[in-house]
Amino acid sequence: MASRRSKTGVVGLIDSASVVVCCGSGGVGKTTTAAAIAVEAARRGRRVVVVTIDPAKRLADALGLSGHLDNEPRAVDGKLLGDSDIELWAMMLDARATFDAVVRRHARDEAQVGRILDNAFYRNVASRLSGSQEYMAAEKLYELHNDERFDLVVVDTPPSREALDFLDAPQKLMNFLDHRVYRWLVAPTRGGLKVLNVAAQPIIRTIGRVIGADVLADAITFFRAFEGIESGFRERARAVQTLLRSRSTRYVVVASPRRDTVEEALYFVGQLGREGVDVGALVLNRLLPEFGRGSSASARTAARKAIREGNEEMAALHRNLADLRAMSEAEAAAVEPVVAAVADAPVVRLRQRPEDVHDLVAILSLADELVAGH
Amino acid sequence: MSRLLVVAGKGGVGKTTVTAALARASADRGMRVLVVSLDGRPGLATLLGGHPDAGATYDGDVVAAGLGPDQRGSIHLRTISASEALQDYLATQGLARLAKRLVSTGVVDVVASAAPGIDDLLVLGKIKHLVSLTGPDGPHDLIIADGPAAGHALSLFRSPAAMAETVRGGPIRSQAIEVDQMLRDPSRCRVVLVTLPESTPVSETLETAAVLTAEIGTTLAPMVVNGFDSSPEIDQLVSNGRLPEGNLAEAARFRSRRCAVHRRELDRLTATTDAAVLTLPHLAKAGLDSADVRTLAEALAGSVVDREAED
Repeated sequence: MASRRSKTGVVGLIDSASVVVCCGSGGVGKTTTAAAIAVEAARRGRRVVVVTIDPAKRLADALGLSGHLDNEPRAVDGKLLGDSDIELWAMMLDARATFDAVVRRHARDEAQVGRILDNAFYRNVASRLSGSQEYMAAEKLYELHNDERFDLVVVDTPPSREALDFLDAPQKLMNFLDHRVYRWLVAPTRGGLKVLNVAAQPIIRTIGRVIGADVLADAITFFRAFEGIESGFRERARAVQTLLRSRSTRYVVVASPRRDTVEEALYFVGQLGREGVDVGALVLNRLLPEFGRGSSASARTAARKAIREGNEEMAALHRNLADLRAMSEAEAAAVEPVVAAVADAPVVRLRQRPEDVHDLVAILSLADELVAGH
Repeated sequence: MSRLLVVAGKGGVGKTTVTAALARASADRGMRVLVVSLDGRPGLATLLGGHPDAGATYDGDVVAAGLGPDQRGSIHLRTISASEALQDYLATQGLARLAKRLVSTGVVDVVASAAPGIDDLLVLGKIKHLVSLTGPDGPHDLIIADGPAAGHALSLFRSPAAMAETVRGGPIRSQAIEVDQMLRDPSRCRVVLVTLPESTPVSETLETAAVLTAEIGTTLAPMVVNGFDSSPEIDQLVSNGRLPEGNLAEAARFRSRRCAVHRRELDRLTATTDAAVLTLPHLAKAGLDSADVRTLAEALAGSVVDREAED
């Protein structure tokens, strides 16, 4: 299927992209897909780092990430992948540590770093600001992309309601800085007025009444401390945005064969299209095995025949085959709209395992399946 | 029984399906149920038997009525967003006109980012108010909240205590304290954790359960294991080892292996948690409709709803 749709299939993407972003709704297997892509690329000789956002504990263990929460890539032991020459790194994103590093990079001096990092409002914003996790994932991606140790960065996106949060994150941060409340908060210091006067403005007073005057005071202090580094921030956000939209950044949409996740995937494909970004590949995860070429209807007919012949055991086996094939047929119908929507992009079909994927052996077998048939 | 059930679970485990089934099971017993959607995701209205667009607004819509033995049972669906909860809150403070201006200028969005956790608190504050109105004389008997995905559910439940700690005074602090009290009061609020009978979801559910009970002090309602498959008939045939080769045997072995995983994970969950554990049968479909929700509601009837009523 994949080879008919595209000459190079997913192999082309794995061999040529410099950034691969895996996206899709929660629970579809984004993290394991990202890991499988990274493993396969590494086996094909590329120097790869895979960034995961919130891996399940056992997957983190499998990748050797447990106990290493320092926001730095860790080399995966090549022997575990059956090839000690393999160059594969993995890291778990720490949004807060990434944000701290960004502040350090742009600040004028240590005093400014201290003023920002100690601010209560900053500590909240860094970990909780809507979109901050997405932005920090993008920021880390940019940093790793420019790191000479790596040819390919594979990133798993945070589960988010809005599929495009990731792509939009740099713009959102810029909007936050551009917003007029921010301007109201910062402008008076530029004009030489006192913070007290800001707090006296009716709208600010009202906000203070809602969120609490002390929260507001922390916010004002933060924005004042932030002043002067925002242009560096802005420049970086623009560079990150350019990378996210460049031709060497490929988007892999991951969906499971259920109507709800397919709808989310379709929405995402549409959004990417409107942004002028191509879908690099579609991964359909956890499809049931097919058990032969027959239909559920033919298996049901066979089950009825077995009953007539008084063979209860054969009837049960045919019924079971019919049930599994019926599920498989429903899955095929469910994924059809998104397969049609991605047009020329390669489609990869990964089979459901009896166990969920959480160790290296299973990731290796997923990686094999990813490129099978090419 | 609790007046508020918050349904939480990792993405893809069928949290919304369970929310719909719980609502239907309760309404079928004559309860007037309010379902609150926190993320405004489509699908819940259809599962409850309503028009796809129903219940998408702050005031919401009645999606089912005349249910239960004396036709008193009903389901009202509404979607509560932080910005509307803020407008509502400002209106109760006598600031309705200003609220409108704050929204139209986009200030609300910045306020929500400026005071992280405030959006969660505003939504929970609104739900707390709705909970206070439940009862024979109020509009509803039970509120079921279709909570956010598991990771966010924890931050949602942590936000009031965190807010009460960082904000030193004013209405927000008292609101935060009151909401936190509600989350820890089993007569008002319990959490229904939803999971699949697979290794990673069960491990994560156990972790979430531990944080909710030990750290936040929330009481758990029965947990729901969704999509539980079992086929003693096929297991028997596979263990007898007299299978004809080919597709029939492969399909039987696949099914039997999957059922074994489901059984093992259910046992592990039951052995590790103190909460009751219920199962919903696996339905061989790629997406459910309102008829399936009625089937699942029957499977749940006499379980969560009755267990809750016993307390």
